Amino acid sequence: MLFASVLSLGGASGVAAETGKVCAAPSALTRAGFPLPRLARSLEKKEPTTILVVNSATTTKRPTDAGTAGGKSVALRSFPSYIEETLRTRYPEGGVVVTTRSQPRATAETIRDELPAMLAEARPALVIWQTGTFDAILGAETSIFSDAVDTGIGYVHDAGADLILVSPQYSPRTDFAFDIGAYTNALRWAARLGGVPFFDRYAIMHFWEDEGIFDFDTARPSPSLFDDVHSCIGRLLVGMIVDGVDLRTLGSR
Amino acid sequence: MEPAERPAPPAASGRDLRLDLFRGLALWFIFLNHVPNNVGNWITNRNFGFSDATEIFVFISGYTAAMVYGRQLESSGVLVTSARILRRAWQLYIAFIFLFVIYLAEISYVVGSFENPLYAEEMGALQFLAEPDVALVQALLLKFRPANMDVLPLYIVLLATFPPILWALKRWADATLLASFLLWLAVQFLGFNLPGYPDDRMWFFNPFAWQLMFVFGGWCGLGGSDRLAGLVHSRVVLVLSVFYLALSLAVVTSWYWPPLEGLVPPAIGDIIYPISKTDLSVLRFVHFLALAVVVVRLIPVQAPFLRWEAVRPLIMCGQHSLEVFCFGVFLSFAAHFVLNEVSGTVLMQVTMSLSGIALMVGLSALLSWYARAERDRAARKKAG
Repeated sequence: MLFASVLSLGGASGVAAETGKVCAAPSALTRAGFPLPRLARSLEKKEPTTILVVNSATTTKRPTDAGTAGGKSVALRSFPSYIEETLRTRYPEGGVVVTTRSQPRATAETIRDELPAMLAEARPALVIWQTGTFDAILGAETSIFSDAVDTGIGYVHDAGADLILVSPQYSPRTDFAFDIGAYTNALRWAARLGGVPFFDRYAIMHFWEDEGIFDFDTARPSPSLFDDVHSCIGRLLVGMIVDGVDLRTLGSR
Repeated sequence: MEPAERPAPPAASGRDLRLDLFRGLALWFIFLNHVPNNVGNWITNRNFGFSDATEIFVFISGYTAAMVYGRQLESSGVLVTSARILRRAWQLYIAFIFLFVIYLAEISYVVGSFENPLYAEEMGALQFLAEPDVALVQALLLKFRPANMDVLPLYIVLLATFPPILWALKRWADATLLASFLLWLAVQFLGFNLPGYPDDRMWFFNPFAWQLMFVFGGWCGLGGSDRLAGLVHSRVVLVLSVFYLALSLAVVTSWYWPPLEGLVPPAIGDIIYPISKTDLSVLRFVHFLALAVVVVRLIPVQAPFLRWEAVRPLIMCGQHSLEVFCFGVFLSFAAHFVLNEVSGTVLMQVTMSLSGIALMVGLSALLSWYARAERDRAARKKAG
C-alpha cells in the first residue's frame, strides 16, 4: 500500500475543508477513469436526481452517549450528507437527494441479493457502494466476493443507474485481525472490468496517515476526527462524481 | 524435540542445507508479512510473484517430514513413527491454542482501550470475534483461525493426516502423488473446503488443496527430486521458468504500481483473477515450481556460501521451524502493538522488523545450544 506515498503530492487534487484540514489525495486515486453517463443525463435534464449510498456503517452517534443517562446524543455527519450538500450547491436546479442504506454485518453477497429491491425503491441515477469490510472479517473467499460484486454492478446498470465502488476504510488498529488487501484488489479489478469508477477509500486514508494529515491509530482521537474524515471523503467523492459526469460531456479521456 | 527439527551440524551431515536456508527465509518473510503497515514486508517474495512464503514453508515441511519420518519408518516401524508424527501434530495444536489466547488478549485490549466513532463497525466486529465463550470453543475445534495464524491449523491437519500418506508414499510414491493431485484438481472445479467460524467462513488455506504442496514436498523428499533432476536441469524448463517468473512479476507489479495498471488485458484478467490463495491456484503452484527450478539451478547443494557464518542465522531458524514460526506469530502481534501504541514511523517499522528477526534468530540459537547440550549429556551417559 506504499504506492500512495510513492506518488508525489504534485498531481494531487486538494480541497480544503472548513476545518482547515486539507483533503488532498494523489490524482491517481481521485479521478473517475470511467464516465457516469446516466447521472450526467439526469443532471443535464435538471430533473430530481437520487444518489443511493449503500454501505455498512454501524453508528451515527457520538460514543459518549452510549447507554448514559442524559443522552445528549449528537448525530455525526457521515460522508453521504456532505455529498448531498456539495452537489446541491453545484447543481441547484433539479434537486439532488442522497439516500443511504446502511447494512452493518452484510457481505457483498447479502447486499447483491438485496440490491434489486433497493434499486426499485430508490430509483437512483447513481449508486455509491462501499463493501468488503464484513467479507474481510469473515474471511469470505475472494472469488465469491468478486463474483457478488460483478453481479451487483450488472444489477445497477440494468436498473439504469451508474455506480461508484468504494473500498473499506483503512483501520490500523484492527488490521492484525483481518486483512483488507485481497478484497480491495478484488474491488479494483471488478471496477475496471465493469467499467465503473473505483474510490479507493483504503488507499486514500492510508495516504492521509502516511502524510500526517490524519492520525487514525491514536487512542485519543480528536473529537472532530469523524467529521473531518467524512467531510474529506465526501468532498473527494464529489470530485470523482463531477469528474465522471464531465467525462461524458468531453467524450472519453 | 522431534528429530524432524533436530539441527544437524552443518559440516558433518548429508542434510541439504538449502532446505533449512529457505525454510528460514520463509519464516522471516511470514513474520514480516504478518506485521501490517510495515515497510519491511516490501522485500518479501509475495510482492514479486504469484506465490509467497507459505508455499515454500509447506513444501519444505513436507519434504523434511517425509525424509526424516520416512527413514524412521524403516528403522522403528509404522506404529512408532505414526505416533511420533501425531505427537508433533499435538505440539502444534498446543502452540496454536497458546497463540490464540494471546490474540484474544490483544483484541480485548484494543476493543477496551480504543474509542473512535470512525471505527465503530470494525470494533463491533472485533467484539463479536472476541466473545470468549464462542471464540475459544471454535478455536479448539480449529474452526476459528485468526488471520495471521491460518498456516498453523493447516500444518496441524496436514501432519495429523500424514501417517497413512507417508506409508502410501513409501509404497506407491507416484500413485500417491497422483491421488493428491486429483484431490487438488477436484477442489479447483468443485470448490469444497472445511467449514469455519464465524458463519459461512471457510478455511483460509483449504487443506484439500494445500495438501498437494505438502505431498509433493514429501514425494520429492523420498527421492522424487532426484528423478526430476533431468527435468530441472533442462534448458527449456529453465527458460520457461524464467519467462513465467518475469511475467508474474509484471502482473503483480501492475497491482500496486499505477504506471503498469493497464498491463493485464481485461480478457486475460477475467480468466486469471482472483488468484486464489485459499485453493492454491494453479498460477501460484506453477510459480512456486518455476521459482524452485531457478533456485536449484542457481544454488547447488555444495554451494560454499551455505557454510558461511553469515547465513547461519537463517539456517538455524529453518532448523527449528515450529518454535520459530510460533514465536514469529507472537512477535508480529507484539510489533503491531508497538507500531500502533508507541510509534508507527518508518524508522520504528524497520526497528521492529529487524529486532523481530534478531529475536527469532536468538531463539533458534538457544534451541540449538540446548539440543547440543542434551545430545552431549546423552552421549556421556551412554559412555559412562
